[in-house]
Amino acid sequence: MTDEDKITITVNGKEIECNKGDTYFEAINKHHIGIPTLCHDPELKPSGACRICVIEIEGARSLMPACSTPVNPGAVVHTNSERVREARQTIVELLLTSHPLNCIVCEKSGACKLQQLAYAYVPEERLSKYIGERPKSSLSEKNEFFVLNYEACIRCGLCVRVVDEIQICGVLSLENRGFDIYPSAGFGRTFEEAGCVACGNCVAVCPVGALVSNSSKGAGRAYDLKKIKTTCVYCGVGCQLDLVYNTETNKIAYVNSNRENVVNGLALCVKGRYGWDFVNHPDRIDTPLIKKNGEFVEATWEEALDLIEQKLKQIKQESGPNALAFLSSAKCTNEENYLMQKLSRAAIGTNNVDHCARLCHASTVTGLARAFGSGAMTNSISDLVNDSEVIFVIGSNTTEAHPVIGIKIKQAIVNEKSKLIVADPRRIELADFSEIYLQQRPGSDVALINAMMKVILEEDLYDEAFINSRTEGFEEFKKGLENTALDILCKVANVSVEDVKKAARLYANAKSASIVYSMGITQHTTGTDNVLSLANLAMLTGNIGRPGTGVNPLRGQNNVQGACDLGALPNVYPGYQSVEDAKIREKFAKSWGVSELDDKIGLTVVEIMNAAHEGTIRGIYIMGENPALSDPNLNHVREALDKVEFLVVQDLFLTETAKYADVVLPGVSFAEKDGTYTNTERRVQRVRRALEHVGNRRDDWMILQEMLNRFGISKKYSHPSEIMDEIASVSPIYAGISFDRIEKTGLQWPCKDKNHEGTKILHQEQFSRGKGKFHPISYIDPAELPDADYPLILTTGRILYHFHTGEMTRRSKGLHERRPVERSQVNSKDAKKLGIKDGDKIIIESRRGKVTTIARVTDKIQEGVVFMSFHFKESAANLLTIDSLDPLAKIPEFKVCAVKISK
Amino acid sequence: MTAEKQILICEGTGCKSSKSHEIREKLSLLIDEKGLEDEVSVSFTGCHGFCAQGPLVIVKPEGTLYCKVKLENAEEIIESHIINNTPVEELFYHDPKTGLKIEKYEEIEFYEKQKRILLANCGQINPEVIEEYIETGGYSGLRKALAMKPIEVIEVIKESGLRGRGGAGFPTGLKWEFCYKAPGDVKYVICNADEGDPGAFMDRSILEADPHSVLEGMLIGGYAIGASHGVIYVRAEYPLAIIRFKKAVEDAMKHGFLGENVLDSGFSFHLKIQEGAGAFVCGEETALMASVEGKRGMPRPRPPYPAIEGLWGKPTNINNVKSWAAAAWIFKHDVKSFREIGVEKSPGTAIFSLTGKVKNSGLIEVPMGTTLREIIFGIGGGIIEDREFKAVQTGGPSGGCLPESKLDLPVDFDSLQAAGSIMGSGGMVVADEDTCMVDLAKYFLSFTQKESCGKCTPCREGTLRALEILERITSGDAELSDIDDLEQLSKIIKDTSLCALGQTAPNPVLSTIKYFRDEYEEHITEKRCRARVCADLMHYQIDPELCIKCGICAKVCPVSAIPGSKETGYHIETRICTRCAMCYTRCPKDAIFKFPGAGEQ
Repeated sequence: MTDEDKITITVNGKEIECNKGDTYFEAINKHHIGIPTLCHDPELKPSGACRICVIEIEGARSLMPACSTPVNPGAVVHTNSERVREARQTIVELLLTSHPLNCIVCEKSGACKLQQLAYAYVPEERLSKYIGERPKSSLSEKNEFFVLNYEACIRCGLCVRVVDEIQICGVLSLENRGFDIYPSAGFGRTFEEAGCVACGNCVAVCPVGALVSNSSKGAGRAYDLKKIKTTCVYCGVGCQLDLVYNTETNKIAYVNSNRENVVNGLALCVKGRYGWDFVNHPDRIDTPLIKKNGEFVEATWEEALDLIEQKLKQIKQESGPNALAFLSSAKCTNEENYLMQKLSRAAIGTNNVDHCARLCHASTVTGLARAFGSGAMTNSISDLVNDSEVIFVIGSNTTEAHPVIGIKIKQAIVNEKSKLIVADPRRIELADFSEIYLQQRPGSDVALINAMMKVILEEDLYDEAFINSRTEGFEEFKKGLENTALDILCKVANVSVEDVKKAARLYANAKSASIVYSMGITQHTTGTDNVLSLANLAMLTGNIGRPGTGVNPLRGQNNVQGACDLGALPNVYPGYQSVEDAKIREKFAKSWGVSELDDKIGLTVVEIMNAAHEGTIRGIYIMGENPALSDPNLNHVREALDKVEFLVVQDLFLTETAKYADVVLPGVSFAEKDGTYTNTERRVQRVRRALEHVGNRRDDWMILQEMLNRFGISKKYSHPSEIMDEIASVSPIYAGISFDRIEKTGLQWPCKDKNHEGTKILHQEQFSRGKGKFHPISYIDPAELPDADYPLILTTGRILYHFHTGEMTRRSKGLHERRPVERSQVNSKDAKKLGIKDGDKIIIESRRGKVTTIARVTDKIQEGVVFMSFHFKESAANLLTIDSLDPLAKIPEFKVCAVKISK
Repeated sequence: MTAEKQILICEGTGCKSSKSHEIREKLSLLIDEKGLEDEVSVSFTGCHGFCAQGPLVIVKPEGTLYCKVKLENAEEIIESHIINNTPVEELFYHDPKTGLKIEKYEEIEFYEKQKRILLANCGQINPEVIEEYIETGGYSGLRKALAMKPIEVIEVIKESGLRGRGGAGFPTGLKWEFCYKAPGDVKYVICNADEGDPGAFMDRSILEADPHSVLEGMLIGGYAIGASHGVIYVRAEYPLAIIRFKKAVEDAMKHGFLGENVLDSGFSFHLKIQEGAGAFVCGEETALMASVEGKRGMPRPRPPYPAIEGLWGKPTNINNVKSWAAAAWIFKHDVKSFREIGVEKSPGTAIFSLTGKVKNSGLIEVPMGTTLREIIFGIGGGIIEDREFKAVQTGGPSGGCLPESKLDLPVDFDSLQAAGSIMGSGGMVVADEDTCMVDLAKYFLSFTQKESCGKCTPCREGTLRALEILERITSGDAELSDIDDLEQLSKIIKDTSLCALGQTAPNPVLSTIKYFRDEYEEHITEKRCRARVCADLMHYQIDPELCIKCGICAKVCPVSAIPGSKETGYHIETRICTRCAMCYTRCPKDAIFKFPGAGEQ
């Protein structure tokens, strides 16, 4: 901001400096001169509807709304003159006349803006000055998550604007006109019928008690509640939220976004806002359990830890450290993951430590590390949606799996900042916002991307300067592409040549184009190839290292990025430092106070299960993971868990996996712990404790510390922040991170030292590996293709209302009520052939198992393909999936296997 | 035109509803039958503005005006006037002042005192024949403008002193200049033809009677501003205007006035006709644009003004139908001729729809600065039955009421505003002693209250509460302090509403309180409506002197409030009477009278 952009105005007799283009509200508010608002929100375009913010501007014909009027140089304004106060008083009186004065029982009492304004502006004797007609109240909207109490609605329009400008779902509009106006889903529909995804962002902005979350009813008055800023526990977006909780009952009352953030703004999704009932759920384990004669019995911590110590030591002694394996958790904090791999490596002496990133983004880590040298999202959420001329979404059902990034992409499209290309085997919501939609056959991504690159090469749309200066291996890559003709590639992918050409041109001609992908790309036997192909595409067009460009994997779990960063992987220490590098080993050995560390790469998740099945792994310690539901070919996994000699599970619930355990340890949830998560854009953010521990539960980091101590690693931490300090000392990408520095806003790694501001965009001057490397990739078929016996392709994924194995979401009332059972998508033509109607019970069977589910007949999925989510243990999709692995990343092919359907 | 005589039938909406087109068909048929088609042409025109006298037929060149023509008069007109050269006296205009029959329309006081420039073609040319417009000099203004630089065109409009005819009177040239100077390649011009005031129909009449004048104005404006696209937003309730305008657009395209490369000038202009969806508020420019964009027609705060950020976010200039037509007139003639009409600060003419308790009602055009008295007592012929003048309401529901003391006020933007009313869209309702001023305020406020879009608090909530106070006053349930509350509330609605609808909605209330406070007070303290309009504050009585004891009143009374018999006579039980006025209207001897006050209860 230069001096030219500064202007001066006089407010209540005092001169203040402000920025050109500011509204009076923005300019004056900075100086702590109170201007009340009802319909204003800094993230929404000003609407000027409620008129409570009117101010007197000398020379203006009437009072002007501060929220929408831009400052004029030299303006003389009054925010508290007699005229202004009278106007505000009348406006509040008018609103009160149409509003029930039932504050004494209203949920919003104490937090209601109208109540505050009445207190400030209306003398008691005027309270019932106006009498007359009240808005009609026969309407109602009640759903699993919130109610709209029309009687209390002050018709400020905020809910409608949030729907229009933030959520972009078109659910709400104002119905009728004049005094009869009200927010409505239209045509007499319920919100859900109109397409409401229950994000509750409308509830969050409602200034009065009109839109109220079911959960907050009776949970406490504003003065009974405290709030704490923390990070959402669901996907990798890392939304910042306020847990609002009642200290008396030790329960969460409701959740709102914390507005001091750079990630999500006011938005949250349905899981973030309503998916926390599991925290106070009666199913939570309160005390350690030891299995005796096939039954769990309650035990003391001493008994449980003694038994673990004894068994692990015994197995190590008898079969060596590599007979033990550790599964860390993408749901746990960075500090806990760090201690878990430390336990595995330093205390036991094995690199057999892995976690479920193996099942989601292992191919990202392998692929991007090979191409660029660093396996993470290259750019940031904000620049992706603010600076991209074109966004290419492939294999990511963003609006369901990463809803807040999904709405940001929608915003970029609707605000005409970006154009969208979508490639997905299913017609996902984003397809409706796209310029070009490509419905490729599952597993054909390499063919599709190669086809696009062929067009770019043939039409000379590639960035030669970038290729020459920043990359290597181009010629070989180019030669590789010459082998197959464009039309054959398009045929393999089952997309039209014309559409591929359009997509290629749109992507390549953009000044800045970013690629967004997720598990549709990674969960294949060719997952690494898919990722490498996307890296090729970005390098070919020079779309990397600048704002609005890049290759951007969206990480699936709240801390899957962090769990990888902190070395819960069998080949690297924290900060992606190789276990095969002697110097690195020496550094860690020294830091951890051990004489030597294992120099061999350990086993991955699926390999651990296979080894357990074979008997070479005798003991497994699992923290916060549920392989008995999340892994492919479940029957095999369950056999392995059954077979393994000693199994420890540290979790919140007696999960499918915990049922196989010998010892179960009760950990704590995100609402009960301190620490950090690292989100998908590499941002390390704080998790803060709100609730007291119930029963005999213990902090996970304390359990791990206790285990470390028992194995001779004597270091004691008084708080998770000290663990982070240790992380910073051994991991260069986290070197500058400490709890103090991320108190307000998280930092993005690499963060090299305590003064470094973090890194928004990777590979700006040069790639992490020096030069970006092209890899020639040829299309390979998925491991299992449909045949006469199993004629359909099964592809799996998430749905909006549930998460992972459903341990948390299915224990959240609203989410469970909204989607209590699996509904598997079957194409309408296939359904017709099979004689299946929407809602029919069906059996889906593969070579590995069969499940019963309910059919959702739709054209959103292509012919010959079936979609199942993996959230429901009653219809466990992974009984069907195949455990064929990508040879490099060892990720299983969740996205393609052959099945048949019967009734 | 080869025919010696022309018979012109008005087919404006008013006359057409009285089936004037059937009269035209009949006249045509008769002319054909008599073999007169070479000597006499039969054609139709748009509205003459003298709708109360319709259907109207003019015979040219003599200029005979036939009023209230019926289908069965067609034969007589042909036989007597056309064949025998004897005009049909019965169908002449009957002057209510003098009782004389007047043949020629120029001699009728209603027309005589007008200065018709924008309405000049109305009733005189066939609106569906572009050649007739061109013959009157049409599109010569466009040619002149296209020969100038755009900024020079704007200079002409600035010099002319033309002010926006939509009601607010903002200098048109300045507005064009803002839009011209606004950065952006794509710009729009919009014609606001969403005429919504009750009783106002001047825009409709121009569109129906002279659509090309508006089109020409928009072309000139589009060229000046740098807009190659225009939109005319017409109320869907004006189907005839839409048909005529569509025809005008087609014909203008054919003649090269519209479309690519207009008259080989290099300037291209495309026009879209958008039908409104029935909301009064869409006459407000930002709501209008939202409606054109397919959104809910709701106003948004200004700034940003449309000149900077208008339709689809692009610089946009919106003018009213009359402003566009005036721009075309200025170019067809010249600045000097325009400035010679009207007054220094408000040059040109004003168009009013003169209605209410006035002898001659209709659409009139007068030079700015004409006094209210000249309009009401000159053109309007005075008050019906020569009753006492009480007030004149100008500017429709956004306007105000002015009392007798303001009758010599010259009518222009500034003096009306200074007196507490506005020019507005041009409604002019004359009230006499039988008009209750509280009821009049209530009528207008109930209109704006119903038409409030509901977006901003003061308009949505405040107009209803104000209306409720007025209802209490007219039903005798109010206290004196209610007047102060009403006044205070009205001031705040004006001061805080988002758009002009709310900002002007209280005007009828405030101006009636200002000039007729005693009437308000009378309603409250004496429970008496002196105009005998407010049902709760008046009563009926039978005059026994005049009553013939026929019993009709008793028979028609729906609540049996008139006891009595043919022998003893009848009287009205005020206590039971609902003031439905059945007896009053049905009494054959006019023996039932209204009296102020609620009567004995």
